[in-house]
Amino acid sequence: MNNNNYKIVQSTFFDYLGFKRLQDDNGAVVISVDVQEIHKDENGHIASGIHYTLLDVALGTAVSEKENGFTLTIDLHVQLFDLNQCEKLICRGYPVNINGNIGNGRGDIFDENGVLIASGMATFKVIQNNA
Amino acid sequence: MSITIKEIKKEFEKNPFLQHLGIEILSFEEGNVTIKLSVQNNLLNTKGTLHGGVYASILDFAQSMHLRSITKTRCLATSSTVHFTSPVKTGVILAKASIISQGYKTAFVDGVIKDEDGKIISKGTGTYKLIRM
Repeated sequence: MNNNNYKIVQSTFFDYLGFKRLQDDNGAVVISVDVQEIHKDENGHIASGIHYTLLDVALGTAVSEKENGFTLTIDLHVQLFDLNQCEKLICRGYPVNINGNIGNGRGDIFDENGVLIASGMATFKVIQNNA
Repeated sequence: MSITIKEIKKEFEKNPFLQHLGIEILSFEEGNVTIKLSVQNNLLNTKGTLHGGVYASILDFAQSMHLRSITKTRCLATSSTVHFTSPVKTGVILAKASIISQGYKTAFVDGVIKDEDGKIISKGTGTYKLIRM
């Protein structure tokens, strides 16, 4: 099912990390986070777990809303490119392919200047809301 | 003078993200690192199971800590693959890692998360750049 009006409710972990959902942009689910101390590692860099979580959330949301369902992550692949300091991370996630109850998503993370920070792909199990 | 294993452990204990997630370091010896997380409500997804981002974050901590316990050098993740095998709703999970291959500047590290009964709930592999001073 493809219902463009369906919007999922985000998790407690989403709120706990201070993530925000922005306006969708050209088919992309857009999630952002203003970098705070809690997002950093022992060296003052943004922890890799923040990038992984942003991609998991954005890609999962994109697939969920395309299929009007809930997604469980099966696998997640992330490449990290630019580890310089930044004040904001913006993640754009897209649904790529849905086949039965398996969906794939892809996405990228940029900083506030549009520099590509990370890219990822993920596979999800899709559970329909009416199941 | 090189950094000691106790100093490396202290650095990790001050990691703000580790503290925010509530991860505890159970053991931190050379080549033998175990970390623990008690599942809390603020770490869950909308179905009430541990969020995928938490699994990925714990694996990254276990992998990078294990690597640093051996190399004593700082490291940065350059890629990661995580397989989510079982959902977890409550209780405690434990993570450990092992090195697949290590060169002068790059290392590949395996990580595994198990529940209290020893059941594997997630596995992953990370590629790390070693920061040589």
